[in-house]
Amino acid sequence: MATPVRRPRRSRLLPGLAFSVVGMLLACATQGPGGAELHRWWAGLGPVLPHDTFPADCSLCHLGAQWQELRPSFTFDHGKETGVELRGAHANALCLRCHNDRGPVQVFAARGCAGCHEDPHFAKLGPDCASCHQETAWQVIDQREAHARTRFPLTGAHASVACHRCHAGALAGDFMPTDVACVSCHRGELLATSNPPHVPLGWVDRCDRCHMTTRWKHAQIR
Amino acid sequence: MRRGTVLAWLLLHAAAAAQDAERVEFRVLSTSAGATVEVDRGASDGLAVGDAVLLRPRAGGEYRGRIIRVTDRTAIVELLDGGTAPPPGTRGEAFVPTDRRRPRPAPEARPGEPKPEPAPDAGRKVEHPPWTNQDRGFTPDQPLLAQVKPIHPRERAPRYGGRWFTFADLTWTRTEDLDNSLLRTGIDAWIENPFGRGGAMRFDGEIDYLTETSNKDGLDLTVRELSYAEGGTRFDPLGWQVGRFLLADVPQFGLLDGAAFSRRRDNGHRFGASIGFLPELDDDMETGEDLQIAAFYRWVDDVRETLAVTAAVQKTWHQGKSDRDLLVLDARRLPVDGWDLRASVWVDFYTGGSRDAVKGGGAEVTHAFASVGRRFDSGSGFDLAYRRLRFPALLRTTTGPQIPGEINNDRYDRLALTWWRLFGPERHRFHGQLSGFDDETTDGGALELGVDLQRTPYDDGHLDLTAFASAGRLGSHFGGRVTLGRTLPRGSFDVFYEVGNHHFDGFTADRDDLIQHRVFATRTFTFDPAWILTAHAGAHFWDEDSAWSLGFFVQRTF
Repeated sequence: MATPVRRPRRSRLLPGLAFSVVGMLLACATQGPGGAELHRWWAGLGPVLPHDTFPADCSLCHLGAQWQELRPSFTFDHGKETGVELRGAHANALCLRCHNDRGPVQVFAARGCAGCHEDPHFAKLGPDCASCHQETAWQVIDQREAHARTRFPLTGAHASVACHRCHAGALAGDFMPTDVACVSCHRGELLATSNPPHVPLGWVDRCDRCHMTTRWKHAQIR
Repeated sequence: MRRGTVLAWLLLHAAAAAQDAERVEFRVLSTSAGATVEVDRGASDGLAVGDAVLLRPRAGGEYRGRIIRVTDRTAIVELLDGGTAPPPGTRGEAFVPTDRRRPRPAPEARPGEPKPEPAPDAGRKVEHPPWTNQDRGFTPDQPLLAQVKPIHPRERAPRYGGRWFTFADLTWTRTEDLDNSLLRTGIDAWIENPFGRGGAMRFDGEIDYLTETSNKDGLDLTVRELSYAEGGTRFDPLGWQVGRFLLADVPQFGLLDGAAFSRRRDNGHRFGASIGFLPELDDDMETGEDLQIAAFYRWVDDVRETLAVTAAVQKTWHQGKSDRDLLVLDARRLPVDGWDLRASVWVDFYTGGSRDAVKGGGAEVTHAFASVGRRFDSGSGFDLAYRRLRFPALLRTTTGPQIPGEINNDRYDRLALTWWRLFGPERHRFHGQLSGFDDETTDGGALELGVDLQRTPYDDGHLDLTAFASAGRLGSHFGGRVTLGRTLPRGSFDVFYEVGNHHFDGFTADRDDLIQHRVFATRTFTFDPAWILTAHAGAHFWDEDSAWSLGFFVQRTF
C-alpha cells in the first residue's frame, strides 16, 4: 500500500469544479424528450401494446388527437398494476430500462440487485448490496458503525479519516481488507520520528505497544 | 400439502369441472389488517363475490380464501386461515364459470363520479392507425407487463440518459493534523442505438479532489467505463463489447480495457472469452502493464436461471512476463423457496516463474466467499456468510501486502451470522449479528443485538436501539447506538448517536480505556423526480480531541 502523503493540491480544485458545473449543465440541458415527466414515454420509443379494452374515453390518458402525447397528469401505479412497488431511484427510472428486449424483467429481478446492476466490487463483498447502499442513491454516506464488526474497530483518530486513506482502491471499487499492521499506513510517520529516533532504535513495528489511537504524543514506553 | 389445502384444491377443481369453468390466475397486490388481501384481477376477469381462491406464496405453503368484494379490475380476498397474510406478488388462482369470462361492455360512469376533463376535440371521432403490435402471446391471466413484445433495438430511435452527481465531505479536527476533504463529481451516461445497429454506448467517469493520499500532480480523472456493446439480446444471442468495462459474466476478473465476446445457447447456457489489459485499481486506473486472456462457461438449470454455475479461467502477463493463472468458480441459487445461496472461489495456480519462490508452487484458494440465507413468510430470516482471504503472489501491483513473508503468511477468515425477526402488529424488528475472525496474528469477534421500533416515536418514523461488543486487533470494545429516522413528505431525516468504551490491551489502568462519542445526521430532499440532495453532518469526540465533518450529495438524472 502506498504511504499516505498529505499534500494539498489547491490548483486541482478549479478544474474539478469546472468539470462538475459543466456536467450539471449538460445533465439539465440534455433532458430527454419526456424524460422529466412521470410517465417517461415518448414517441421515439415506438408503439405500445394494443389496449382496445382500456376505458372507452381515450381522453383519460391521451391529450387531444395526438396519440403520442399523454396527459401530464397521467401516472402508472406500478405497485397496484404489477404487485411490485418501486421505491427510491427505481420509481423514477425509465420503463424501458427494465422492460426491454434483454428478457422478462421478472427473471432479472429474482436475482436481486445483481440481476440488473453490475457488481463494481468484483463479487468480493457478497450479494447483499443493501448492507451498505440505499435505493435512493448508490453513494454510501457513512459506514463507520459497520466497521465495529471487523477486526479493526475505528477508535480515536481512526474514526475521522476518509475510507480511501486506508483502503487504497476504494475509489475504484476495491474494498479489500487492508493490512492492519500499523506501519502499513504509518510508514511515513515512522521515518519522520526524531525524538526519540525510532528507526535507529529498532522500533520499526508494533506501534500499538506504546501508542494508542488517540494521538501520537500520548505514548507509554514499556 | 396440508389436508385442508388438498381438500380446497379438489373442491376448486371439482367446481370447475361441474360448471365448465376456467382458471383465473392472479397476484396479491397489497395486504391489510384483518387477514384480507387485494388481488389484481376483478369482475372484468370473471371474479365474483363468494368465489373460493387459493394463494401460493413463493416461500412455500398455501392460503385459502374467499372473495368478499370486487371492483372491475381488483378483488378483496378474505383469508380463511387467518394469521399472517402472504406478501404482495404472491400467486393465486380461482375457477370461474366460462360465461363470466365473455367480453363485457365498457363500464359506465358511476352516479356522482366526476367525469374526466374532456379533450379539446372530445366528441369528434378520432381515427388512429392500425396497431402494428398485435401482442398475440398475451392472455388475460398474465400480469399486465408479462411478455410485452419488445421493439427490435434497430427499430428504435436513439435515446440517451444518465446521471450527474457531486459528493463532498470536509472533515477537520481540533488538535491532530487529520483534516481531510473529498470532492467527487462525475457523469454516468448511456446512449442506446447510436448507430442504428441496436448497440449501447456507456460512459462512467468522475473527477476526484482529495487533500491526502496521492502525491501526483494533475487531475484524478477516474474512468470506470467507456464502452460500446452489441448483441446479447433475445434477438441476437451473439454479443460483443469493446472499450473499458466490467466483465458482466465474470465480475471477479475485474475491469478490462479490451474486448469480450459471449454467446447464449438455446438452453440458456452462456460461454465467452475476453482479451485486453487490466487497469490498476487505484484512483488513476492507468493501464497497459497487465495483459489478460480469459474464458468462461455458465451453466443454468433452465431459462429462469434458478441455479447457475460458472467456471472461468484467466491468464495474465505483467510487462510481458507470465503472472497470474486463476480459476474462478461461482454458484448462485435464487431464493425461489426462501433459501438464497451464493458462493465464489478464486484459485491461484503457481506453475513456474519467480512467484513460486513465495508460494512454493501448487494451487491455493486465495479468496472465497460463501453465503446461505433464509427468508421466512413472517418476514424474519437469517444469513450465514464465510469469507476466506489469502494474498496471491503477483507481479502486478496490488493493494495487499508487498513483502514476500507477509504475502505468504497473511490470512483472514471470517464467519458471520446475521438474523432478524419481526414481531407485533407494527412489524417491529429484532436484529443481531454474531461474527468471529481469525488472522495471522490474532482472533476475535463481535456481537450486536438491537431492536428497530416502527412508527416510533412518530407515525412516520422508526427508532433503533443497538448494543454492541467486540474483540479486535488492539483491544476490546462495547457500547450502544441509537438511530432515529423519519420519512418526510419530500425526503427523509436520520440522526444517529453512538457511545463506546474502547479498552486497549497492554496499557496501564489509568489510561487503557477510551470513551468515544459520535453523532451523525442526514437530511435528504427530493425536489422532483430528477433531483435528489442529501446533506450530512457529524461530530466525533474522543479523549481531549474532536473531529467534525460536513458534506452533501447531489444528483440529477436525465
